[in-house]
Amino acid sequence: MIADIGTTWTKILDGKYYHILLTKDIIKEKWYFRKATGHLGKNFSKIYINELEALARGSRKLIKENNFIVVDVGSRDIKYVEFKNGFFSKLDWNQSCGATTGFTLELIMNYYGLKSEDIIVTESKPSPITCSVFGLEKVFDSIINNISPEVAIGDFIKSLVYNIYEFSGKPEKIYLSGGMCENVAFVKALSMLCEVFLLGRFVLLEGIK
Amino acid sequence: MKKIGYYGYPPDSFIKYYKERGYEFIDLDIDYNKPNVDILPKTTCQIIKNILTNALTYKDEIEKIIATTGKDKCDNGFFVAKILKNLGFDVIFTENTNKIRKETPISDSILPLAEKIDLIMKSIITPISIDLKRAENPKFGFWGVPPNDFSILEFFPEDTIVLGWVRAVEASVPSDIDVELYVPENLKVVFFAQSFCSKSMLAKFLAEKYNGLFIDLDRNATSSIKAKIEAFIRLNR
Repeated sequence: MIADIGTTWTKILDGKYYHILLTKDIIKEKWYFRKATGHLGKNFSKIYINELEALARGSRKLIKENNFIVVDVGSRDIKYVEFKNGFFSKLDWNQSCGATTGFTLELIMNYYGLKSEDIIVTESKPSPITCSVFGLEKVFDSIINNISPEVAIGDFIKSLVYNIYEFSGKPEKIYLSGGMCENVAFVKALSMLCEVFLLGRFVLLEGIK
Repeated sequence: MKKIGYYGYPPDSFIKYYKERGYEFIDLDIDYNKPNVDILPKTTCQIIKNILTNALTYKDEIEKIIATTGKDKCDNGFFVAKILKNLGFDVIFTENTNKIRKETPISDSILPLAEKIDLIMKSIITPISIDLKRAENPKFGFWGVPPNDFSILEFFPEDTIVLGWVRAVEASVPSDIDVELYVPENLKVVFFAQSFCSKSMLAKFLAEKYNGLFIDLDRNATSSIKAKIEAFIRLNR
């Protein structure tokens, strides 16, 4: 068994079967993997490969192009890798300004009982926010001013997405990896800025296979 | 023994003068794990915080401080010298403007990177004479100043070339911007600067220019900083 042990979710490959479990249960039940990557991978595996390397190797296997940019948006950070002419070219990892992007989104949507399908992403210009935690203030401020949670969170997502787009160097095309592939509002907001291809949640696992 | 604090790379003549008079030198740039004194803004480079913290920690032992205050250090090196003077220290204002370049055998050798940088910085006070094997086909470079946290250096292979200000120090020309900006072609380079240091402008610019990796850190390296360096090295091997 191999695993990508993220902050909130653990993605597991057992033979040919993929599973997603809550990381808090993995910790509680003291799971141990042959090979792992991810935030908590070091403590629960025999062989550890760091997330950026796993993302680079996984995306290289999955994407049949020589020049591409892949961005992984997880619970607590944003990872970026670029390939040029078939070779690794650049990487970056944003844990500070990209702090808790996925986690905060999940938190605020759960708080208002909303699913990503309920969120309204408008054509409005994204507000400048430094990170998701500071962005939350704007959400509450908008709601106080009679804007619906669906629109306020949609604006919040647009701002987060714009930060990610800038962090990635404003490319024409992004391959998106991680949990945000399943958030339709997030994907819609990113698609307003560039072409988006979804890779799903198992790219890092592919990289450590 | 009489002690004298210093930071940066003071002119050799000052070092010689105080060595001959029996002074023991204390490098104030280094983080000796003392709690930061709460005088400077939080958005100050950790090395500058170290200088002030160390000076105040060793106040009773230090007779004088040789401050480097010009292009050989940075603007904050000048400002912190002024602050130290105001706090009652006997501060000698210097600027190392030497332009006669020496060879850089340590920077170009095969040794663990942390050891290389440590040797170069120690050679400011005590000349180093050891047999070194030259890196023949280096693939990686480390550009910048000595990091506050040396743990980021453990990921580099032993034939990593030292570039930037540390190389300029070994060449005895800490204010020579041409040596500082020198980056060989086809080398994969990590461009490092302390957070809030104005050298981060150069580091970021050069990282873009040479398709390298820009890294900045404050006091201690986070796991993501280490992972970036580790992945950069492993993916470029």
